[in-house]
Amino acid sequence: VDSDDVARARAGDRDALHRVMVTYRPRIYRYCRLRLDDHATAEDLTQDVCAALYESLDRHRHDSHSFAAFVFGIASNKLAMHYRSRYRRPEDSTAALPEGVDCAPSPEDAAVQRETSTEVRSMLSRLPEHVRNLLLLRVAAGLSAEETAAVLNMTAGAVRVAQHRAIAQLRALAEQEVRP
Amino acid sequence: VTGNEFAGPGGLHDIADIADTDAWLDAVSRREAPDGDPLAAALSTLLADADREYRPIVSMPDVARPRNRGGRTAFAAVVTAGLLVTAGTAAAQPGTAVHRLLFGHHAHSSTSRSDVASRANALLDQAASLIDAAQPGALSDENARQVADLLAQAHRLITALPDHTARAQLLARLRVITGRLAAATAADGPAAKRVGVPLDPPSQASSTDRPSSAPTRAVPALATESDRSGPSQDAGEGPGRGDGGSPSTASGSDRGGPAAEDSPSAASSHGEGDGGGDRGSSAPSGPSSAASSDSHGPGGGRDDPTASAD
Repeated sequence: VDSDDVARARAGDRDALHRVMVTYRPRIYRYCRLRLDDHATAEDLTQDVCAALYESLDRHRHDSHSFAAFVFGIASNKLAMHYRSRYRRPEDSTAALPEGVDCAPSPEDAAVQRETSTEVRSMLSRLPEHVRNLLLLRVAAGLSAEETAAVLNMTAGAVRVAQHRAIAQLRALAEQEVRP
Repeated sequence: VTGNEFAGPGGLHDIADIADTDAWLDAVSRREAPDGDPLAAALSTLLADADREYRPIVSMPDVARPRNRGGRTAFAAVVTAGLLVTAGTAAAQPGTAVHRLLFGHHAHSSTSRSDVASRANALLDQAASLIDAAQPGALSDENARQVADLLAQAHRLITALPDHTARAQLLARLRVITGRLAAATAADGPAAKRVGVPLDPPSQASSTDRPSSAPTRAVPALATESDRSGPSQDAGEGPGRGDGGSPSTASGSDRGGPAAEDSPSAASSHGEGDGGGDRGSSAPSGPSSAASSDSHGPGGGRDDPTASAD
């Protein structure tokens, strides 16, 4: 997706809009999924973010470099709203049921992956919320340090320092897991 | 301290380490992390796990339709329906702008008729109260002019009324109050001259509303108004009609006995009014022309305060 695609999508070109969505929707879902507990909520929020993006395309007046920051700014706000509403109306969600065909190579590999994912999630959950958000913007959303800084209203240098510290913390936690 | 460090949150940081971490994170996000790094492998697994759950969209409407277009269309439909209902309601209400636009102006609609009648009654009440506040024959010039203006306005409204009965009742009351105005104005004072009260002394006024010095000349302002849109177009309701002063519509001090008794013209020197009262259809139009009709006998209503005594 380049700046032309964004401009054409803004002008109503459906093909360009499709390219924008196909590019960003998986990243939005990944970011939401890693910040949330279950797949269904992540999917709902992804759809919310896409709809909000579609509605607010007119408000974006920058080049495609900052468009990613624009998209994940919307996603970050949606997640913040979700957290606020969940805080006001706490829910006990049931465990997510498996949907569709599991494409994992084998049950053993899937089990290993799930275990690894659970461990990483556990480690990430021990980080402060804003640091976890920063890391997921960098890793899951694939934003650069500059784009992450734009979303979080920080400087790129502060983002780099914060992510450096966060990774150091994660390594320390991983070592603790290996050597309890 | 190597010189490649700077103070940041949590202590000293090596610039090279920070740059390395930045590059390492970029590689992890692109799934290009070097082998042998357990943390990079764990993060890659986490991302792959999330990607496996992802269900791609099939077509664009999946993105835009459910919350966006559907909501907007529904909102537009609700707004349109609301506007239609509002317009329909307004169109059904006589007197509204939409009703007039669609069906034209109907002066005989119940709303406008009652409004006009009540406004005319209010003007007559106001005029009567001004007259009541003054001693007989001592109404000031200013008040006399004000009463004349009020009566002229009331007359204008009354003559616009399409309802014959209401118009006749209000005209009768107007006549009574006009007579009281003449009576309340000093016969030889400046007010009397200004409103055209004759110098002839009244003779037979017996109503409590009417002082004994009730004059018989019409107020010029009213006469002029009646000339233009006089009620005489309606048979029997002209100034010459003898049934004026209907008790049913008279109020306050001007409500009283038969119009013939209330009317200043009944006290006119020639006393011809009783003959022509019921033949209002033949009477000339408007109070101002009552002067000439009066001289002809049948047209001169006995209750008509505007009738000339000459």
